[in-house]
Amino acid sequence: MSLGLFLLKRIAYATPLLVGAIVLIFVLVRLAPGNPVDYIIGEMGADPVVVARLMADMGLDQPVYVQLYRYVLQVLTGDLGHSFVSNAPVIDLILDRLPATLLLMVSQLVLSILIGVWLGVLSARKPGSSLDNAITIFSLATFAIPVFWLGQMLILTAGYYLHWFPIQGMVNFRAGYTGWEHVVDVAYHMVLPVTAMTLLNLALIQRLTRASMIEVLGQDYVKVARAKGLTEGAVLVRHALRNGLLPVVTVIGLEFRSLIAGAVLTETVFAWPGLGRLTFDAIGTRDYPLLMGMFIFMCALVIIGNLITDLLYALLDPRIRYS
Amino acid sequence: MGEWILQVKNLHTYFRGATVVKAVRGIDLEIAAGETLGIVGESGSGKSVMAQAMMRLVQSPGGIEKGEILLDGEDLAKLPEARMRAIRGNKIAMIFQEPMTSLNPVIRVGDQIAEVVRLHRGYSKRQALDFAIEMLRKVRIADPERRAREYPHELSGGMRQRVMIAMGLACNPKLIVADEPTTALDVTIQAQILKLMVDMQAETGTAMLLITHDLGVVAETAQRVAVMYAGQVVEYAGVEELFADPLHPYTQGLMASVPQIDQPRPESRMLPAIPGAVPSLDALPVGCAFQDRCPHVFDKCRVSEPLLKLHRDGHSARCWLHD
Repeated sequence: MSLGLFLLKRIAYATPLLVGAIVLIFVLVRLAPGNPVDYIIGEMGADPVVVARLMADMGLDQPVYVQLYRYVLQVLTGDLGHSFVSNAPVIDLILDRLPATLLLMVSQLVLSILIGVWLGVLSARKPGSSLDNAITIFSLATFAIPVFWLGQMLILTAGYYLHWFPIQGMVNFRAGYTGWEHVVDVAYHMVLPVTAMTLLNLALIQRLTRASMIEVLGQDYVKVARAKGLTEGAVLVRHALRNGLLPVVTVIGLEFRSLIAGAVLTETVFAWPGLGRLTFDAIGTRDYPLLMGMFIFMCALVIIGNLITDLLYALLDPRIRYS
Repeated sequence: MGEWILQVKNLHTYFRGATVVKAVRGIDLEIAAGETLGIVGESGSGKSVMAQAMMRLVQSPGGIEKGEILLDGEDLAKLPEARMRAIRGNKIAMIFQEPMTSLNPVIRVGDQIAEVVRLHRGYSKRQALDFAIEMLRKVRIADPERRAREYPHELSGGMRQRVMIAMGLACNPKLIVADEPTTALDVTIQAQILKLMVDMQAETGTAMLLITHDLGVVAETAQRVAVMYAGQVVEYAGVEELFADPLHPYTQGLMASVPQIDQPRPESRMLPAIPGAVPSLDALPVGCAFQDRCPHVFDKCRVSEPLLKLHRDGHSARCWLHD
């Protein structure tokens, strides 16, 4: 059974989903009060003639369904349009900011998976022990704290009072580092935002790993593995963890969307020049094309994320074959 | 028999939680090379806990309270964990009850067998896999090269139990602990698996501790039998002797509750059963543990606990009736 056919099917399913998402988002965005012209002319106001001309230029004088029809046609030809505010192609704006966001997201995802799974296994080994209780309290606390508040507290303590880490941005512009120094500088700026997001995400992963591992450790094949004379470490990693991670992989895939939402908040708090900030700014200026472009881009990311999850699942569990 | 492979002396296994559950209360057993010792008893009699204690695999909060488990004169109860690991799967192997859940679903069966010899014999990956295929052939699995590459879900229950037997015998152990190895299989497969175990045992000279609640299985495979009740051995005899002349009322009750296919049904149309249930192991009565279910109970049984006494050559029972 070919993997290619499976992928093709999934893409075929994704297309109507994407169109539905575009329509929904388009309507929701237009329902919000205000429009980009208000932002462009500013608070001083302008000649109604100028306003009318700007509206006509952007096609905003047409009824919403006409705008939607035009927009869908345009997107289907692969064109996400021009930003009203920056006057640049939307796709260029997105691709320009993408690396910064990917850097943040991949770092925090890797860290939260590693730490979350590790803590989850630690608690599952002795459920109800004081170590398990301590880890549980820690993860419930980090899960409950909103990321924007956590971010601000980190800025206040580790940044403002202690001066350990930079508070905002991705690079030190004044120093203008290049090469290796630039890499270290970016890593230094990443510490606080990555910490905030990791704390948020690792809690969910820890709880899931714990629950799943407790179940797996009660399975007969774990007893068999012990009866073979394997060390506890080999039993845990080789026999239990591969089974225990299956539900964790599913949920990480499903949580992909909240990862992006978390990125918007975190990037805003830490003034990180990524997609989250771009989205936030686009909302503020009612930059419809940019906003729509961002949402479509996020939808695509989520769909791709789910696809990767499905494939990874088949790789981890031989009982699942896509046919 | 002079040379015992395994001698168990006064073994106690308790679970210490809110109350102390005395699952195994002073068991003495011995097995010679090539011999099969049957352990019979109903659910809750402590059979499986005793089996796990042999392997030192009783999980917390349970543990061996006191007693000796002498394998070739070495006391397993006192061995450090690292030394015990070198014995598990090597000198003592275990076959579990549930072949459907005893194999790891995400690892190929060949690799699961190979793991044992890689660990205890230091075989290379290639050597170990060739060896695993050879073991699969020995347990009469057709097309072993192909089966070795398959995952457990691709095998039937009978085949999986054959794989478990191959895994258990891989290091040519001195003792096999088989915990209800045929209970989960249907009757025709049961007979095949039993025959395979007897044949393999004859070939390798391994001693076997066969735990079962099925008196038929014991009659077919064991040379001697220990009947367990509430964590103790209540009767211990050669298999023919036991079936011909059971001394303990519990053993008599067990024998009576086996339907006799070649004899007319009793008039009541009901199968005789032993009334009541095994007493709770954390609140045992004073005196004999069987007193509340015994048809011959008298004053002494409720006052003091009988000892396991030798009544004639190789036949002992724990009952005041035979004092």
